[in-house]
Amino acid sequence: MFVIDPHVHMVSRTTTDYENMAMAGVVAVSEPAFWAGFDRTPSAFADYYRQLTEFEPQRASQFGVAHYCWICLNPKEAEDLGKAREVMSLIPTFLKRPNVLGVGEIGLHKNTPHEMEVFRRHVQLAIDAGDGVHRLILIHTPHLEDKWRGTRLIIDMLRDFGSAIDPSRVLIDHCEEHTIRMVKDAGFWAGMTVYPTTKATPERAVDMLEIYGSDRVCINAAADWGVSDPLWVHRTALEARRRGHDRSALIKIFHNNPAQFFGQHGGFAIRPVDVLDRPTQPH
Amino acid sequence: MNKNFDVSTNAPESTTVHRSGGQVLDLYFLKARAATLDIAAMLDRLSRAEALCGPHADERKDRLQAALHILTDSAGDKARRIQEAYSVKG
Ligand SMILES: [Zn+2]
Repeated sequence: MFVIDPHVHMVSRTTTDYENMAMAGVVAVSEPAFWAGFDRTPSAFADYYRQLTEFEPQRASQFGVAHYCWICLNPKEAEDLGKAREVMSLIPTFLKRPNVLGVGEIGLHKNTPHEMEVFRRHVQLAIDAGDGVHRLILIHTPHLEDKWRGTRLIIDMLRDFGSAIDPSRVLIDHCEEHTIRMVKDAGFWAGMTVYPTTKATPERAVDMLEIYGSDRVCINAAADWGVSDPLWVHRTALEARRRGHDRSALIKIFHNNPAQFFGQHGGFAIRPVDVLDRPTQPH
Repeated sequence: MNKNFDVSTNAPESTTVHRSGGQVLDLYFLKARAATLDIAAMLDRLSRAEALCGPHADERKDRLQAALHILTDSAGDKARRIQEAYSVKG
Protein backbone atom coordinates (compact mmCIF):
# COMPACT_ATOMS: atom_id res chain seq x y z
CA MET A 1 0.00 0.00 0.00
CA PHE A 2 1.41 3.39 -0.99
CA VAL A 3 0.47 6.34 1.16
CA ILE A 4 0.93 10.09 0.86
CA ASP A 5 0.65 11.68 4.30
CA PRO A 6 -1.12 14.97 3.59
CA HIS A 7 -0.54 16.68 6.94
CA VAL A 8 2.23 15.84 9.37
CA HIS A 9 4.57 18.00 11.43
CA MET A 10 7.81 16.12 10.96
CA VAL A 11 9.97 18.79 12.64
CA SER A 12 8.58 17.49 15.91
CA ARG A 13 8.97 13.80 15.08
CA THR A 14 12.00 11.54 15.29
CA THR A 15 13.95 10.09 12.43
CA THR A 16 12.62 6.70 13.54
CA ASP A 17 9.16 7.98 12.63
CA TYR A 18 10.39 8.65 9.07
CA GLU A 19 11.75 5.11 8.97
CA ASN A 20 8.53 3.57 10.30
CA MET A 21 6.43 5.63 7.90
CA ALA A 22 8.63 4.58 4.96
CA MET A 23 8.32 0.94 6.00
CA ALA A 24 4.54 1.41 6.13
CA GLY A 25 4.49 2.60 2.53
CA VAL A 26 4.63 6.38 2.94
CA VAL A 27 6.16 7.78 -0.24
CA ALA A 28 5.63 11.49 0.45
CA VAL A 29 4.71 13.81 3.29
CA SER A 30 3.24 17.29 3.23
CA GLU A 31 4.22 19.40 6.23
CA PRO A 32 2.30 22.60 6.96
CA ALA A 33 3.95 25.39 8.92
CA PHE A 34 2.41 25.50 12.36
CA TRP A 35 2.72 26.51 16.01
CA ALA A 36 5.78 25.27 17.92
CA GLY A 37 3.93 24.94 21.23
CA PHE A 38 5.16 28.40 22.27
CA ASP A 39 5.11 31.81 20.59
CA ARG A 40 8.30 32.54 18.64
CA THR A 41 10.10 35.78 17.88
CA PRO A 42 9.93 36.86 14.21
CA SER A 43 13.57 35.91 13.62
CA ALA A 44 12.84 32.30 14.61
CA PHE A 45 10.48 31.97 11.65
CA ALA A 46 13.21 32.35 9.04
CA ASP A 47 15.04 29.44 10.66
CA TYR A 48 11.84 27.41 10.85
CA TYR A 49 11.15 27.98 7.14
CA ARG A 50 14.72 26.90 6.36
CA GLN A 51 14.18 23.78 8.43
CA LEU A 52 11.03 23.02 6.41
CA THR A 53 12.63 23.67 3.04
CA GLU A 54 16.23 22.49 3.54
CA PHE A 55 16.69 20.18 6.49
CA GLU A 56 13.48 18.11 6.53
CA PRO A 57 13.66 17.18 2.81
CA GLN A 58 17.15 15.82 3.49
CA ARG A 59 16.07 13.87 6.56
CA ALA A 60 13.10 12.39 4.63
CA SER A 61 15.17 11.49 1.59
CA GLN A 62 17.28 9.03 3.62
CA PHE A 63 14.21 6.80 3.58
CA GLY A 64 13.05 7.52 0.05
CA VAL A 65 10.28 9.78 1.32
CA ALA A 66 9.60 12.96 -0.67
CA HIS A 67 9.13 15.93 1.64
CA TYR A 68 6.88 18.85 0.69
CA CYS A 69 5.81 21.73 2.88
CA TRP A 70 3.62 24.79 3.25
CA ILE A 71 4.69 28.22 4.50
CA CYS A 72 2.72 30.68 6.63
CA LEU A 73 2.31 32.25 10.03
CA ASN A 74 -0.05 29.97 11.95
CA PRO A 75 -3.26 31.45 13.43
CA LYS A 76 -2.14 30.93 17.03
CA GLU A 77 0.64 33.48 16.52
CA ALA A 78 -1.46 35.86 14.41
CA GLU A 79 -2.83 37.93 17.28
CA ASP A 80 0.07 40.43 17.21
CA LEU A 81 -0.44 42.23 13.89
CA GLY A 82 2.98 43.90 13.98
CA LYS A 83 4.73 40.58 14.35
CA ALA A 84 2.46 39.06 11.71
CA ARG A 85 3.45 41.74 9.20
CA GLU A 86 7.14 41.15 9.91
CA VAL A 87 6.91 37.37 9.56
CA MET A 88 4.71 37.55 6.47
CA SER A 89 7.27 39.68 4.68
CA LEU A 90 9.52 36.57 4.67
CA ILE A 91 6.96 34.31 3.04
CA PRO A 92 7.07 35.28 -0.69
CA THR A 93 10.76 34.33 -0.97
CA PHE A 94 10.21 30.94 0.68
CA LEU A 95 7.16 30.22 -1.50
CA LYS A 96 9.55 30.02 -4.46
CA ARG A 97 11.52 27.11 -2.94
CA PRO A 98 11.06 23.82 -4.81
CA ASN A 99 9.38 21.73 -2.09
CA VAL A 100 6.85 24.41 -1.11
CA LEU A 101 3.33 23.48 -2.22
CA GLY A 102 1.66 26.71 -1.16
CA VAL A 103 0.40 28.80 1.73
CA GLY A 104 -0.61 26.92 4.91
CA GLU A 105 -1.76 25.95 7.39
CA ILE A 106 -3.45 29.31 7.72
CA GLY A 107 -6.86 29.57 9.33
CA LEU A 108 -8.44 30.44 12.61
CA HIS A 109 -7.83 29.37 16.18
CA LYS A 110 -10.16 31.43 18.42
CA ASN A 111 -11.96 33.23 15.58
CA THR A 112 -10.73 36.70 16.60
CA PRO A 113 -10.77 39.78 14.32
CA HIS A 114 -6.94 39.81 14.22
CA GLU A 115 -6.81 36.17 13.18
CA MET A 116 -9.32 36.93 10.44
CA GLU A 117 -7.28 39.89 9.24
CA VAL A 118 -4.10 37.78 9.04
CA PHE A 119 -6.05 34.99 7.30
CA ARG A 120 -7.20 37.41 4.57
CA ARG A 121 -3.67 38.73 4.11
CA HIS A 122 -2.37 35.19 3.64
CA VAL A 123 -5.03 34.46 1.04
CA GLN A 124 -4.04 37.64 -0.80
CA LEU A 125 -0.42 36.52 -0.59
CA ALA A 126 -1.33 33.18 -2.22
CA ILE A 127 -3.12 35.10 -4.98
CA ASP A 128 -0.22 37.49 -5.50
CA ALA A 129 2.35 34.66 -5.58
CA GLY A 130 0.36 32.74 -8.18
CA ASP A 131 0.98 32.66 -11.87
CA GLY A 132 -2.50 33.14 -13.35
CA VAL A 133 -4.01 30.89 -10.66
CA HIS A 134 -3.37 31.36 -6.95
CA ARG A 135 -0.94 29.15 -5.05
CA LEU A 136 -2.49 26.15 -3.29
CA ILE A 137 -3.92 26.94 0.15
CA LEU A 138 -4.11 24.63 3.17
CA ILE A 139 -6.43 25.73 5.96
CA HIS A 140 -6.58 24.79 9.64
CA THR A 141 -10.03 24.97 11.21
CA PRO A 142 -10.37 25.62 14.97
CA HIS A 143 -10.69 22.88 17.55
CA LEU A 144 -13.71 21.66 19.47
CA GLU A 145 -16.37 24.27 20.30
CA ASP A 146 -14.91 26.89 17.92
CA LYS A 147 -14.80 24.63 14.85
CA TRP A 148 -18.29 25.12 13.44
CA ARG A 149 -18.22 28.92 13.61
CA GLY A 150 -14.60 29.11 12.46
CA THR A 151 -15.23 26.91 9.43
CA ARG A 152 -18.23 29.04 8.50
CA LEU A 153 -16.18 32.25 8.82
CA ILE A 154 -13.35 30.80 6.72
CA ILE A 155 -15.69 29.80 3.90
CA ASP A 156 -17.32 33.25 3.97
CA MET A 157 -13.95 35.02 3.87
CA LEU A 158 -12.81 32.89 0.92
CA ARG A 159 -16.07 33.66 -0.92
CA ASP A 160 -15.37 37.38 -0.45
CA PHE A 161 -12.37 36.94 -2.76
CA GLY A 162 -14.78 35.99 -5.58
CA SER A 163 -13.29 34.40 -8.68
CA ALA A 164 -9.75 35.05 -7.43
CA ILE A 165 -10.13 31.88 -5.34
CA ASP A 166 -10.68 28.51 -6.96
CA PRO A 167 -12.15 26.12 -4.33
CA SER A 168 -10.54 23.12 -6.03
CA ARG A 169 -7.13 24.61 -5.10
CA VAL A 170 -8.01 24.99 -1.41
CA LEU A 171 -8.03 22.23 1.22
CA ILE A 172 -9.94 22.95 4.43
CA ASP A 173 -8.59 20.63 7.08
CA HIS A 174 -9.69 19.01 10.35
CA CYS A 175 -13.29 18.62 9.11
CA GLU A 176 -15.63 16.62 11.32
CA GLU A 177 -19.23 15.47 11.19
CA HIS A 178 -20.68 18.98 11.58
CA THR A 179 -18.39 20.77 9.09
CA ILE A 180 -17.50 18.36 6.28
CA ARG A 181 -20.73 18.90 4.37
CA MET A 182 -20.41 22.70 4.22
CA VAL A 183 -16.81 22.37 3.02
CA LYS A 184 -17.55 19.83 0.30
CA ASP A 185 -20.77 21.54 -0.81
CA ALA A 186 -18.81 24.77 -1.31
CA GLY A 187 -16.45 22.90 -3.68
CA PHE A 188 -13.37 22.82 -1.45
CA TRP A 189 -11.21 19.82 -0.66
CA ALA A 190 -11.91 18.46 2.81
CA GLY A 191 -9.24 17.17 5.15
CA MET A 192 -10.10 14.79 7.98
CA THR A 193 -7.74 14.37 10.90
CA VAL A 194 -7.53 11.27 13.04
CA TYR A 195 -6.05 12.38 16.35
CA PRO A 196 -6.60 11.22 19.92
CA THR A 197 -9.44 12.81 21.92
CA THR A 198 -9.83 16.16 20.17
CA LYS A 199 -10.45 15.15 16.55
CA ALA A 200 -11.84 12.18 14.61
CA THR A 201 -11.13 8.52 15.28
CA PRO A 202 -10.31 6.09 12.47
CA GLU A 203 -13.83 4.65 12.79
CA ARG A 204 -15.54 8.04 12.57
CA ALA A 205 -13.32 9.09 9.67
CA VAL A 206 -14.37 6.01 7.70
CA ASP A 207 -18.01 6.73 8.62
CA MET A 208 -17.63 10.20 7.13
CA LEU A 209 -16.08 8.73 3.96
CA GLU A 210 -19.06 6.40 3.64
CA ILE A 211 -21.58 9.18 4.25
CA TYR A 212 -20.04 12.09 2.34
CA GLY A 213 -18.05 10.20 -0.32
CA SER A 214 -14.35 9.91 -1.03
CA ASP A 215 -13.99 12.53 -3.77
CA ARG A 216 -11.96 15.62 -2.77
CA VAL A 217 -11.10 14.15 0.64
CA CYS A 218 -7.69 13.65 2.25
CA ILE A 219 -7.10 11.83 5.53
CA ASN A 220 -4.22 12.71 7.83
CA ALA A 221 -3.07 12.19 11.40
CA ALA A 222 -1.64 15.72 11.84
CA ALA A 223 1.02 14.10 14.00
CA ASP A 224 2.95 16.77 15.88
CA TRP A 225 4.57 17.33 19.29
CA GLY A 226 1.38 16.26 21.08
CA VAL A 227 0.16 12.76 21.88
CA SER A 228 -0.28 11.64 18.28
CA ASP A 229 0.90 9.04 15.81
CA PRO A 230 1.63 9.38 12.08
CA LEU A 231 0.57 5.74 11.57
CA TRP A 232 -3.00 6.58 12.50
CA VAL A 233 -3.39 7.26 8.78
CA HIS A 234 -2.71 3.55 8.30
CA ARG A 235 -5.00 2.67 11.18
CA THR A 236 -7.75 4.45 9.25
CA ALA A 237 -6.88 2.52 6.09
CA LEU A 238 -7.09 -0.67 8.14
CA GLU A 239 -10.51 0.31 9.47
CA ALA A 240 -11.72 0.92 5.90
CA ARG A 241 -10.30 -2.46 4.83
CA ARG A 242 -11.96 -4.25 7.76
CA ARG A 243 -15.27 -2.88 6.53
CA GLY A 244 -14.68 -4.29 3.07
CA HIS A 245 -13.47 -1.28 1.10
CA ASP A 246 -11.31 -2.64 -1.70
CA ARG A 247 -7.74 -1.77 -2.59
CA SER A 248 -8.67 0.63 -5.36
CA ALA A 249 -10.74 2.61 -2.83
CA LEU A 250 -7.85 2.63 -0.36
CA ILE A 251 -5.34 3.74 -2.97
CA LYS A 252 -7.72 6.49 -4.05
CA ILE A 253 -8.18 7.84 -0.52
CA PHE A 254 -4.68 7.47 0.88
CA HIS A 255 -2.54 8.02 -2.21
CA ASN A 256 -4.35 9.30 -5.25
CA ASN A 257 -6.48 11.98 -3.63
CA PRO A 258 -3.45 13.75 -2.09
CA ALA A 259 -1.55 13.21 -5.35
CA GLN A 260 -4.41 14.87 -7.23
CA PHE A 261 -4.70 17.85 -4.90
CA PHE A 262 -0.95 18.47 -4.44
CA GLY A 263 -0.33 17.66 -8.13
CA GLN A 264 -2.02 20.95 -9.02
CA HIS A 265 1.32 22.42 -7.97
CA GLY A 266 3.72 21.65 -10.79
CA GLY A 267 6.55 20.77 -8.43
CA PHE A 268 4.74 17.82 -6.84
CA ALA A 269 6.27 14.80 -8.54
CA ILE A 270 4.07 11.86 -7.49
CA ARG A 271 1.26 10.90 -9.86
CA PRO A 272 -1.89 8.93 -9.03
CA VAL A 273 -1.56 5.16 -9.55
CA ASP A 274 -4.13 2.52 -10.52
CA VAL A 275 -4.88 -0.83 -8.90
CA LEU A 276 -5.52 -3.22 -11.76
CA ASP A 277 -6.88 -6.26 -9.93
CA ARG A 278 -10.16 -5.54 -8.22
CA PRO A 279 -10.76 -8.12 -5.49
CA THR A 280 -14.41 -9.02 -4.97
CA GLN A 281 -16.12 -7.50 -1.94
CA PRO A 282 -16.12 -9.83 1.08
CA HIS A 283 -19.89 -9.45 1.44
CA MET B 1 11.37 -9.25 59.93
CA ASN B 2 12.21 -5.62 59.29
CA LYS B 3 8.98 -3.67 59.62
CA ASN B 4 10.28 -0.86 57.36
CA PHE B 5 9.90 -3.12 54.32
CA ASP B 6 6.35 -4.18 55.12
CA VAL B 7 4.79 -1.39 53.03
CA SER B 8 1.42 -3.11 52.61
CA THR B 9 0.44 -2.30 56.18
CA ASN B 10 1.17 1.42 55.77
CA ALA B 11 -1.52 2.18 53.18
CA PRO B 12 -4.92 3.15 54.60
CA GLU B 13 -8.03 1.35 53.36
CA SER B 14 -9.64 4.58 52.12
CA THR B 15 -8.53 5.66 48.61
CA THR B 16 -10.46 8.94 48.53
CA VAL B 17 -8.44 11.87 47.21
CA HIS B 18 -9.82 15.38 47.56
CA ARG B 19 -10.65 16.79 44.12
CA SER B 20 -13.16 19.34 42.89
CA GLY B 21 -15.72 18.93 40.13
CA GLY B 22 -13.69 21.39 38.08
CA GLN B 23 -10.60 19.24 38.43
CA VAL B 24 -12.50 16.17 37.29
CA LEU B 25 -13.79 18.04 34.25
CA ASP B 26 -10.31 19.36 33.49
CA LEU B 27 -9.00 15.83 33.43
CA TYR B 28 -11.88 13.97 31.80
CA PHE B 29 -14.22 16.28 29.86
CA LEU B 30 -12.44 15.85 26.51
CA LYS B 31 -12.24 12.09 26.93
CA ALA B 32 -15.93 11.90 27.77
CA ARG B 33 -16.77 14.22 24.88
CA ALA B 34 -14.92 11.88 22.51
CA ALA B 35 -16.65 8.86 24.03
CA THR B 36 -20.11 10.36 23.38
CA LEU B 37 -19.14 10.98 19.75
CA ASP B 38 -17.92 7.38 19.44
CA ILE B 39 -21.23 6.06 20.72
CA ALA B 40 -23.22 8.43 18.49
CA ALA B 41 -21.19 7.40 15.43
CA MET B 42 -21.67 3.70 16.25
CA LEU B 43 -25.45 4.15 16.54
CA ASP B 44 -25.50 6.05 13.23
CA ARG B 45 -23.44 3.25 11.65
CA LEU B 46 -25.99 0.74 12.88
CA SER B 47 -28.91 2.80 11.51
CA ARG B 48 -27.21 3.11 8.13
CA ALA B 49 -26.63 -0.63 7.99
CA GLU B 50 -30.25 -1.30 8.92
CA ALA B 51 -31.50 1.23 6.39
CA LEU B 52 -29.53 -0.67 3.76
CA CYS B 53 -30.11 -4.30 4.82
CA GLY B 54 -33.33 -4.09 6.84
CA PRO B 55 -33.85 -3.97 10.62
CA HIS B 56 -31.90 -6.49 12.65
CA ALA B 57 -33.43 -7.84 15.88
CA ASP B 58 -30.62 -8.31 18.39
CA GLU B 59 -30.68 -8.28 22.17
CA ARG B 60 -27.35 -6.38 22.18
CA LYS B 61 -29.26 -3.35 20.88
CA ASP B 62 -31.64 -3.62 23.86
CA ARG B 63 -28.72 -3.79 26.29
CA LEU B 64 -27.16 -0.72 24.66
CA GLN B 65 -30.50 1.11 24.92
CA ALA B 66 -30.74 0.22 28.62
CA ALA B 67 -27.20 1.47 29.23
CA LEU B 68 -27.91 4.73 27.41
CA HIS B 69 -30.94 5.31 29.63
CA ILE B 70 -28.82 4.83 32.73
CA LEU B 71 -26.32 7.35 31.34
CA THR B 72 -28.92 10.09 31.23
CA ASP B 73 -31.16 9.31 34.24
CA SER B 74 -30.85 11.35 37.43
CA ALA B 75 -29.55 8.52 39.63
CA GLY B 76 -25.88 7.92 40.45
CA ASP B 77 -23.77 4.78 40.58
CA LYS B 78 -23.96 4.66 36.80
CA ALA B 79 -20.95 2.46 36.01
CA ARG B 80 -22.10 -0.34 38.35
CA ARG B 81 -25.68 -0.13 37.07
CA ILE B 82 -24.54 -0.26 33.44
CA GLN B 83 -22.36 -3.28 34.19
CA GLU B 84 -25.43 -4.95 35.66
CA ALA B 85 -27.50 -4.04 32.61
CA TYR B 86 -24.89 -5.79 30.46
CA SER B 87 -24.72 -8.82 32.79
CA VAL B 88 -26.35 -12.21 32.23
CA LYS B 89 -29.22 -12.41 34.71
CA GLY B 90 -30.44 -15.35 36.83
ZN1 LIG C 1 -1.29 20.85 11.63
